[in-house]
Amino acid sequence: MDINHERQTIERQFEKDLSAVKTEADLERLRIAVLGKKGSLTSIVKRIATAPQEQRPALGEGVNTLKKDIAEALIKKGNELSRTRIEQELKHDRADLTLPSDVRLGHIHPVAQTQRRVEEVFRSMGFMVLDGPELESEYFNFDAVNMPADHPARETQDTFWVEGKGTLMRTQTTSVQVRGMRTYWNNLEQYGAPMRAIVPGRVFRNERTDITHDNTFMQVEGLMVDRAMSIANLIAVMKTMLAQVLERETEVRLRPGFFPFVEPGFELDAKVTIDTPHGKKEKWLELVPCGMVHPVVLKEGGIDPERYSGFAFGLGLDRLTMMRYGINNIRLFLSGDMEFLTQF
Amino acid sequence: MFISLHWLKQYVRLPKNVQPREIANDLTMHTVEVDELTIQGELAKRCLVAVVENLEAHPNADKLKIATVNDGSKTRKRVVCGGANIAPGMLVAFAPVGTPVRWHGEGEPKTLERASIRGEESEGMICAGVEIDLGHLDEGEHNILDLSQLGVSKRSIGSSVYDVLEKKGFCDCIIEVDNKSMNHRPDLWGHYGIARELAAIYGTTLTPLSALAPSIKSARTNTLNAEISPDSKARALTLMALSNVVVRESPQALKNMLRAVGINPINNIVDITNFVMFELGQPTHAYDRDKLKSETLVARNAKEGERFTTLDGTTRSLSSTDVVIAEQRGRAVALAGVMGGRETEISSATTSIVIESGCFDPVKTRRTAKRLGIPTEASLRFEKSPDATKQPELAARRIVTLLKEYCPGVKIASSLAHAYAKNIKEYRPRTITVSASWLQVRIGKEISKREIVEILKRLEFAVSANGDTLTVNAPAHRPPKDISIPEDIVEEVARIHGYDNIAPVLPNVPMLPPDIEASYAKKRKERDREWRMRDILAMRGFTEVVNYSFIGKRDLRHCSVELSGAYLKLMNSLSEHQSHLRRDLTTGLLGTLGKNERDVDELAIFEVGRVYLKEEQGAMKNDNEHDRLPGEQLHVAIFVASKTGKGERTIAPLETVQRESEALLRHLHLDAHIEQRHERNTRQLSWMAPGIEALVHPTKSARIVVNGADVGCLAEVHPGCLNDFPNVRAAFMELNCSALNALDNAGEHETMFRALAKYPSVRFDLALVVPCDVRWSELERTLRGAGPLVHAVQPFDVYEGKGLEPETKSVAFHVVLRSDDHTLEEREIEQVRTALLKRAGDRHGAALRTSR
Repeated sequence: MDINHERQTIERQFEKDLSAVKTEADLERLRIAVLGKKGSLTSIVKRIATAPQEQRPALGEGVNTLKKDIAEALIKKGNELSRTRIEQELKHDRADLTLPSDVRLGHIHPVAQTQRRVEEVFRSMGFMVLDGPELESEYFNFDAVNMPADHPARETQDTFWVEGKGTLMRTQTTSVQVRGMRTYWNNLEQYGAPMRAIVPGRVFRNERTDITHDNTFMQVEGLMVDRAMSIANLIAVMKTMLAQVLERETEVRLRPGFFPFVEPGFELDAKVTIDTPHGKKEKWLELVPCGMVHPVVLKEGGIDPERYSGFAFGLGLDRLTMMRYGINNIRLFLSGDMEFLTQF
Repeated sequence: MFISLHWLKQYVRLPKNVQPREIANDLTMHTVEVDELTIQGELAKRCLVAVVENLEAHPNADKLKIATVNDGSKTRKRVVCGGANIAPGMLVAFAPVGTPVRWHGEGEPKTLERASIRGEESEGMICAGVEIDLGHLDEGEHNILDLSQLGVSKRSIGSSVYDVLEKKGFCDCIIEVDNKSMNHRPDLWGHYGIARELAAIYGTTLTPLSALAPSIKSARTNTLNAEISPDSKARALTLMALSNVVVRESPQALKNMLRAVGINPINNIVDITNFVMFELGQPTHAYDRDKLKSETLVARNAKEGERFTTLDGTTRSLSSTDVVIAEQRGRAVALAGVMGGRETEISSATTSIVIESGCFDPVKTRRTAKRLGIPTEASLRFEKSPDATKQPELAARRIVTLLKEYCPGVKIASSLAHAYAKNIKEYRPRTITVSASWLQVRIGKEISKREIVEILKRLEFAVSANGDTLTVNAPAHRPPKDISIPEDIVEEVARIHGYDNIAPVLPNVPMLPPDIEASYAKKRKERDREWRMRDILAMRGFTEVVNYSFIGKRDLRHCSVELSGAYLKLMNSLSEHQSHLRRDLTTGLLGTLGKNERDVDELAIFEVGRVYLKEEQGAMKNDNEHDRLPGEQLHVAIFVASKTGKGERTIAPLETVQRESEALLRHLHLDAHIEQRHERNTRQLSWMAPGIEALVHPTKSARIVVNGADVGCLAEVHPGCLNDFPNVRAAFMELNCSALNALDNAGEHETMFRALAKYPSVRFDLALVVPCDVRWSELERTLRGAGPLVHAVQPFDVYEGKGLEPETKSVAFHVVLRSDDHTLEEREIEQVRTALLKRAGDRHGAALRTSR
């Protein structure tokens, strides 16, 4: 019989058989019947060699094309069949994805999260992030920052005194102002760089605790010294910083305040909205004590107050954190209560 | 301190239309913080003067009555009222339906509605003072406000209660100033001082002091004498005698003013001294001259143990640091600057008095008042270091002026007797030279020289200008403690100009990162690592805990260790639970377990914090290199605890701590080794005190070593320390970050690229039987030493028990061999395998485990 004709017969027969295939075993049988060693297509391939020389290429191409098409059709059908079979099997393979997974989430302390945000803001403004000893000397905590021996704050019971002469738990991160100036100022001055530093850290007050007071809390001290720093500079930096820390534009006001280590001193208030039993109410919240660094403090830090001036400020991290999350009791922070700590 | 607006208006003319709220706000913005503003009668504005025309009993309530009131409108109102004093014909404050009132004087106002009270309709309310912001006029708790008694006439029926009372001077505004905000301003502790500020803020006129306290025509005879003993540190003492005094009740106006600021009137003499204190801020005291045994009064130190009975009737034992006003070589008659004495008190029979007006040492006054527990209005003022040069005499003159007014017939019986401290010059106001341009730079705004001078003059500074240079003389009421340096002038100018009027200007600085300072760059990296540790631990499921730096004996109850010794002691702790400083974090984390044990089956926590070491040298205390604080270290600790027998989810604490420690250390690029040679591996760590040592399991503990330095430890918690927690097991790791930071490159290894393998590696497994006490770290060292081809050895199974000799264990591990320059041959592989077995056999008595 004519090879071409036979090829067409095989093709038609294959299409008919393929559509009748129901299982993967049927499919395998069909494959062997067509493409196997004794398969129908294999047998005509062998016969091409017997055809006249000039017909062989055309015949070969026709048969090869068919062989390729059949192989592809077989694979396609095979995929369909296996898919159907697997689908069938999977009907009994179930999982309840609404069950909670066995994950143990860790948490960073909420005050630390606020601290990190504050550090990020100031770093982005070119500030150094410094630290100093929590167990501090009377000298750096008080004398060096213009709070001399007869200053009332030194006599109150607010200070935790530690055994050893003039040793205390620092009452303010202000203690690091003079340490920081002494360590870094000379080099910075050589570069012509301003001193920009914040000092986040733990401070201690020896007082009875209640929902708004704990004897241990977190402050951030800030300091910037350069030629001709002004009140206008302080206001600008404070506004920028607060908008970034609170992550929204905030109306602020600066009013007189008094702290021994600054002159003049200010209180920076931020306008906040609070919930009262009678609805939302706007209110000024005392947020950032600040001021122009007192010349006595600059001198203690080895900076010439005739040539340089600066501003300093303080931030209470606990209070910021309480504002941010609506926490109503400061003592929760050091409570070690997992129900509290795992909320953040 | 309470400030009465009525009182202020005696001295200062305020701009028309300026509202009390603006005044309070302006004071806050320019001078001192106003805590609260009370506008008396604010709610009375919509209440009407009404008359009670008829009164009948309430049918259902004994204490209530039904009043018929006439409020000037056409219809009479029926009102249920519970006021105990209500009577027919009385003029009352009537709040019609729709008026806001403050129930019982508390909370926010609520609008009155038509209501039925015990079954009787009420068309409004007859108010008590507290209900309409007139609480200061109430007499008796259950009484309504009786307007008839206040002199209101029937012609006022139908008028606003506020308007009527305001005209009569009953509606003041009380400004409460935060005392803390004026500790540095002695001049503000009286109404005149606040008035002076308002005059400067508004640029309005102020009654001059010379009008309030004109000079005095002294008596010819002068026998009074004031003295100051130097060790009393008293700065000034002024005396003045008056005769023909008649002690009686003060006039109503004076009493009202005192009540407005919270002072109870006593008699005209005492009231006048109090008035002057709240006016000028200068405390004074009046003695009954006939009870004084000496014409000379001395400010001297008390004798140790000297007995003195103060005005309040308490007999006190004085200390030699207290200062008294005493008769010459005689008894004390007053506790200087704090309180007068019982024995020389003014009585109704007094006819002759001595006025004492002084200035005392702020620190001594404060200490005396505090030690004796009697902080008084006087001591509070002397603590602020007020003016000693002019103020005492001024107050004496003011008292004389007022006495003449309130006590007609009074005669001056002496001249003013003064004594001043030898160093009184130190307390004289200062002269400060500043330039206008410097002020502008410091403020950051070009405030004109004219305005600068104008502001300073309004504040009563004397200013003379010479070109740019200003010579500024502070007034007497601004003593050196307050005004002494050019920066003080910056404040005066800027605050009156108004901080809100200064436009923000961002600093113009070179764009240099702080890391250019090399020692800071190192600090910065250390801090970065601190945050990275938090991130890693939190990501791996640990919750950050923050504990107090303090510990108490409760924290060491798990062991019999005493807190004395290694732990630094707090000298003035308020609590036995916080008596010492911690030396480690783990002890605190064990406490955290205690707080959560009932609610939590498993705990995975960490802390980053400081510890304090008595025996180590810390930061410098001052300028002296050798004067050092105790040591302080930054630690990080992780703590895992779980209850056993609670189902599959229970975690194994020690394994978890070990795995997570390794994860942490490797994430931090630290080449850390776990060293476990002997029992109690942790003893070498310097910060370890007996308290934490007792927590360490005797055999399951190890030290963490980085670059040869001991930087921490990990251990199971000794079960004996967990007696309080049934079925709980726990483990911890504590790392001394300060020790790590002290290492080269802070202990971190540098990451360098290593060429990828060119030739295939060969992998096989071995299982060796070794004595139980052979640690993997030792075996690993031995195996790795078997030649350069050993690329890795990795244990995957350790077995002890059935099928093995007692005290032995089987350790199974993968061995990976690799060469960088050729493909390994079978012969080489066999050689290495033989070498591995021989070394392990020689060094650890290891034998190949044979399967049976």
